[in-house]
Amino acid sequence: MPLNNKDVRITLIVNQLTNYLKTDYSGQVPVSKKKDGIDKIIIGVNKLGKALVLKTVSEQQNKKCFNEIIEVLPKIMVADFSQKLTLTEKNNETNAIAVGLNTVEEEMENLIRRLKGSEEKIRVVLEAAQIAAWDWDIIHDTTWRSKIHDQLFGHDQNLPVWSHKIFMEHVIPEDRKQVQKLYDEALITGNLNFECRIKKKDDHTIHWIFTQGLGYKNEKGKTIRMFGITLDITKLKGSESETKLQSQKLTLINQELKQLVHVASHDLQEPLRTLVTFSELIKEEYWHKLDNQGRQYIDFISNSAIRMQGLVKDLMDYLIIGNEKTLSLVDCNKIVHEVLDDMQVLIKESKATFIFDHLPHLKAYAKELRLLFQNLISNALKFRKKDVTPIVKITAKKEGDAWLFSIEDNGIGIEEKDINKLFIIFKRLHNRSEYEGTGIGLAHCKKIVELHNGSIWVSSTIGVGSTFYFRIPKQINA
Amino acid sequence: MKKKLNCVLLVDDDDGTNFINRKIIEKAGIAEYIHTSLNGKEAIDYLSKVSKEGIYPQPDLILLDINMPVMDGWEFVEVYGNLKIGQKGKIIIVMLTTSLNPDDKKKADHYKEISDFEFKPLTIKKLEEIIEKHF
Repeated sequence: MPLNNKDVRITLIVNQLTNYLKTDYSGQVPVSKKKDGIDKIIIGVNKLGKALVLKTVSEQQNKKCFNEIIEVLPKIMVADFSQKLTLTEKNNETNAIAVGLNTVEEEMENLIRRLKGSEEKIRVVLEAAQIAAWDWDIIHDTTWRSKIHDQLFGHDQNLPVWSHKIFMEHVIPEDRKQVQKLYDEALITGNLNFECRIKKKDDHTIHWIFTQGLGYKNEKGKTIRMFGITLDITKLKGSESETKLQSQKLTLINQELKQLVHVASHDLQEPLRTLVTFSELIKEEYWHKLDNQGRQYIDFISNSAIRMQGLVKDLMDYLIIGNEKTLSLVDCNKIVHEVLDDMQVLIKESKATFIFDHLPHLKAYAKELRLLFQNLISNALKFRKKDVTPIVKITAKKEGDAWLFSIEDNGIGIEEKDINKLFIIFKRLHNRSEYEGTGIGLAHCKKIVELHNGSIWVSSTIGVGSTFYFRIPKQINA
Repeated sequence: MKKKLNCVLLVDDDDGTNFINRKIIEKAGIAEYIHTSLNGKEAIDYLSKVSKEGIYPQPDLILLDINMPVMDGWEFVEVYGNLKIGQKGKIIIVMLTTSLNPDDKKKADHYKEISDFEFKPLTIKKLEEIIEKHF
C-alpha cells in the first residue's frame, strides 16, 4: 500500500515512541505545516523526548514518576489513552515529561475519534454502493471484512473467519486457475485487479464479481497485507454481453450486405444485360416489321432495363464505399483539377467558370473524397439555370480541428421543403425528363463524409443558387 | 350494367406504368376519360385548373403512386386535403404502389383521404374490385 504523508508521520511517531522505550531519546520527529491533529501529537512527542533527555540526568531522584511514565508509553502504542499522568510540583523535568505524554495522549485520542467518524462515513457509503471492503492479513491468512462482504458470496451474515482458501472455494472451477495466477502476481506487484465468476452459497447462482486491492509491504519488501474492495458486477456483465451480441449481429449484417453487393453485381446484372441485349437485337432486326405501338413497347423495355442497370450499379457503389479503408495524404487541389478534367466536355458546353484556390492537403480516403468532389461539382453544373453561365466556387477554411469546405453555385436552387430529402438514397426532386440521374449522388456524398467522421449540409435559395458545405476533421479515427 | 366513371387520374412518374395502366383502364372500359400526371405537383395543378365553363376536372378516381420526384404521394395527399371542396368533389384516392414496406400501408390508413391501398401491377380484376367497392 502506498503510504501517504499522514501515514508517514504516524509511522515516525510510533518509531519515536518505540525508541523512547528503548531509552534512546536522541531523535526529534520533524513537524510539518499540516494542521491535522498529527502535528500536535508530534509536538507532544518532541516535548516528551526533550524532557526525557533532561530526565536521564536526574533520573535517580524521580524513580517513581519515571516508572509511571515508562508504564504509560506502551499503552499509548496500543491506543489505550485511558490513563493520564498526574503532574507533580516537585520536579520540573519529570513534570515536563508528564505534560508531553499527556499532550500526546489527548491528541491521539482526538485524532482517533475523528478517524472513526470518517471511517463511519466511508462504511455507510460503501454499504450503500454495495461495495464490500476487506483487509487481508496475508501472513496469517485471515481477513477483516465489512458487513456485506460475505453476503456477496451468498451467506446470511459474515462467517466467523474468511481466508483466501474460503474465497477460492466460491470461485467457479473454470476461473480458479486464472484468479490464483492474478493473486500470485499481486503478491509481487502489490496490485490486485480481476473479474471472475463465483457460485453463491445460498441459491447456487453464478455471479460476476470485481475485486481490486493494494498490497502493503513490510521493510523487506514482502507483501504482508492487502486492502481492497469487492463488488457484484453481474448486471454490468449482462449488458456487456448484450452489447457483444449486438456487435456480433452487426458484423453478420455487414457480411450479408457484402454478399448482397456480390449478388447485385453479378446475379442481378445478368438478366438485365440479357434484357438490354435482346431489346437491342429486336431494334436491329425487327424494327421495320413493328408498328408504332410495338416499337414503343420495345423502348419501354429497353429504357427500363437500362435504368435498372444504373440503379443496381449505383446501389453497389453505395454499399462498397469505405470497404477498402486506407487513409492517405490527399491534395484537394489535385483532386478538383482531375475531376474538372474528366468533365471537360460538359464544362465547355456550359461555359462554366470554376473558382478555387489553396485547397488543403489532408489525410483522407482518397478514392472516396474524389467521388465526393465529383458528385458535388457535377451537381453544381447539372442543376444550372438555362440562361445563366454557371459559376462554381470551391473554398476551404480551418474551423477548429476541422476543415470546412463549401461548393457554391448559381444554379436553380432547392426549395426549402425539399432540403431534408436531399440526402435520401434514390430520392429525386425532378422529373426524369428534366434532369437525369438515379438519385443516389448525394446519398453517396453523405456516406463519404460520414466515413470521414464529418457532416454535410446545404443552404440554398430557390432561383439564386445552392451552397453545399461539408466539414471533415483534420484527424480521422480509422 | 357496368358502372362507368367520367374521369380517372393517374399519378405516377414512370411513363411505362402510366402507359400500362391507361391500357388496362381502357380495356376494362370503365372510364370516359383518363388523365396522367407525372408527380403530385402536376396532379394538384390539374385538379386546380378551371375549365372555360368554370368547372374543376373533379376526377372520380385517382390512382396514386407513393415515390415520385417533385411532390410524392404523401405530400400530394396533404396538399389535396387543403383544397377547396369544389376542387375535391367526391374523389376516391387509391394508393397504388410497389412498396412492400408495411409501414406505408399503416401510414396510408391514417389518412382519411386515402380510400384504398393496392399493389402494382394494376389488373382488370383489381380495377373492377375497386369500382365495385367504392362506386
